[in-house]
Amino acid sequence: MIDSAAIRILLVDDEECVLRSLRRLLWQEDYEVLTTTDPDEALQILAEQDVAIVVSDQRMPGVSGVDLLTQVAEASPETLRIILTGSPELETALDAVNRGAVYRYLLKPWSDADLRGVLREAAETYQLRRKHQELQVLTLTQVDQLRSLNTNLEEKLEALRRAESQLAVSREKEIRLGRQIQESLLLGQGIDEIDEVAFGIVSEGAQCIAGDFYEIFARTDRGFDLVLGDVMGKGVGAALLGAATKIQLLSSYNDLLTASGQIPSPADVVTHASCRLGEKLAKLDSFVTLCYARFDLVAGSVSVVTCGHPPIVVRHESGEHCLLQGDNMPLGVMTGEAFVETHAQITPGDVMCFYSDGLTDARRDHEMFGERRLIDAVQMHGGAGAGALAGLLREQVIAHGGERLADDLTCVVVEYLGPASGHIDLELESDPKKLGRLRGAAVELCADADIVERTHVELAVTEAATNIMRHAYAGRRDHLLRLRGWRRCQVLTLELQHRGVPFDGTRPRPARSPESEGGFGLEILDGAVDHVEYTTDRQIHTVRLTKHLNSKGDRKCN
Amino acid sequence: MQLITDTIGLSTIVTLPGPNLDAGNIDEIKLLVDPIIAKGGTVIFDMSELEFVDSSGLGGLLSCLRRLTHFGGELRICALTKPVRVLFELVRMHRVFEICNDRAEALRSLDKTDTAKVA
Repeated sequence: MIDSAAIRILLVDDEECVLRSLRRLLWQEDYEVLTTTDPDEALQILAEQDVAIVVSDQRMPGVSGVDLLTQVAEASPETLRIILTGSPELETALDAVNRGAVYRYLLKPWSDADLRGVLREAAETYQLRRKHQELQVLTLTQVDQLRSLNTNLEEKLEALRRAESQLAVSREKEIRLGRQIQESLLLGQGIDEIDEVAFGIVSEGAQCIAGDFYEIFARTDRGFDLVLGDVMGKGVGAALLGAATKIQLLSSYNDLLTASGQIPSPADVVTHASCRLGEKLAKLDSFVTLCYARFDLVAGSVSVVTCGHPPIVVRHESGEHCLLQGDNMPLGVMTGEAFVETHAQITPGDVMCFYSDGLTDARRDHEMFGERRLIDAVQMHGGAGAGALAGLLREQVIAHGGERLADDLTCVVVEYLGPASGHIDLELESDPKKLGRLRGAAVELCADADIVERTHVELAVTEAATNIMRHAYAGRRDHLLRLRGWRRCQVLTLELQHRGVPFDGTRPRPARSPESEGGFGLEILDGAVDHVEYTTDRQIHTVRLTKHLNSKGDRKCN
Repeated sequence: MQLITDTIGLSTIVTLPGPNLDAGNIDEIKLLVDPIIAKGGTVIFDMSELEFVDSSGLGGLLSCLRRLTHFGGELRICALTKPVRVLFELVRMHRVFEICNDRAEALRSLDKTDTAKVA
């Protein structure tokens, strides 16, 4: 379909009558028709306006139609050019074609129908070429736009990648910071230094830091206080709130102690801390669950304030268990609340498991580890000692919920060992022939254990003493060796002391090959007791052996 | 101290003196056992009198096993008391030594080895 309205035709002929005749012919067509008798004017018009078709006479004064159209082709290549000539000469026609100057070559007199047809065809061609050109331009423009968009997109993607990378670094920093806060401010320090109690700790950080905390403090002649808590939420914010809560509890304890001169009760400490912290926590839209326990080792009792916290699982030496739980609200939920204590008697051999809900809530798919599994584990393995139970709980929870924990896994197992009993203390020469006496004394402390554990104790004390004789005294037999030992319930402690050259049996040592005839001593020590420790105090070097006697017979701890 | 030894067929049975084989007496025992080991052949250590063996004692036993094997001989140990077995199991030496319940079982196991060697 021709849109002839847009078509401008320029007719060039030196004869006005021809131009008029052509005008008449095209009068009814929708072309815009321009005419001129002057070829120069024709070129001028072309320079000023878009002309679709130029129809030119061949014979004009000064310039031929072919020459004119050649110039038109140079000035406006898309314009279609038609020669109209009254003298058909082969030479002219060939020249016109060879110079590529014309679209059609027509003769005068013309057939109106033919001329109209040729012009229509030329108009169509022109329009198609223009359309093609426009499309090309459009395509190029769109390609450019696409290219530009693509570049933008790549830049944006790169920016996004950079932002993600920075975010990951920030997250990593936050986790590291949270971990540092947790390790320095939230988790207990020097927790294993109370004689009558053994501790087992599980402290596994979640992928993102949460606000679990625990601490042993307020040590007195009668016992100590233990607090374990969990701040709602995760991240550095939760960790800071955990630290703040712990510090407030310590501060409340000290304030109350200073004010009254009396050791404040756990309920008073928590109530005081809640008054100080409650509103702040509420403003931060957060709360803290915690468990504050006071162990009175003289009275054999524990007083507990639990605030929205999971219960404490207690395993008595008899193997029976119970749960210690209060019904106080978490800190930050209500203000002005007076917290209430729960009391229980403890006897040597009892094991108490304090934990945050990260332990029981560890999930495999939708199934939580749960309180039942925890109670079963405490009941079944509580007799193996605090450290062993803590290690086993950690293994079980991770086996259930996987290594990538969603929440902090915090658990403090307290094993009440009771006062030491059955002390031994003897001093012998550093002579291997005295080893039998050392063994005899050590085994007296575990006469109630089975033969395997008794043999392990004999082996351990022999190997430790032999090491001292060899390494500290270089085989000399005229030095002295002291053996001290005692029992706290199921835990046997033996200390071998010397004043020779200190040595550290814990340092990394090469693996013993099946062919070697020596090197069994340290391997025997590792396998025979739970813990070997080398310390020095005022020129006295001590090798301390600790063993939990799991096979202990019917003898009661208390 | 003297060692009690019995010779049954080609095997020498050595009753290791008790109750301990440890750093306190291992050197003494080694001096007594060495000449027997040096002869090669088949040797059985009867451990029934030993109530305690430590790493030094174990090292001595391993030395005997190694030297006897070097001389083309064989070693069996038998009649381990419970505490001694505890040590062997603790350091997994029950996988290194041929351990028999008693002398008769040790002799039978050596017979089988001899038969296998002849065959």
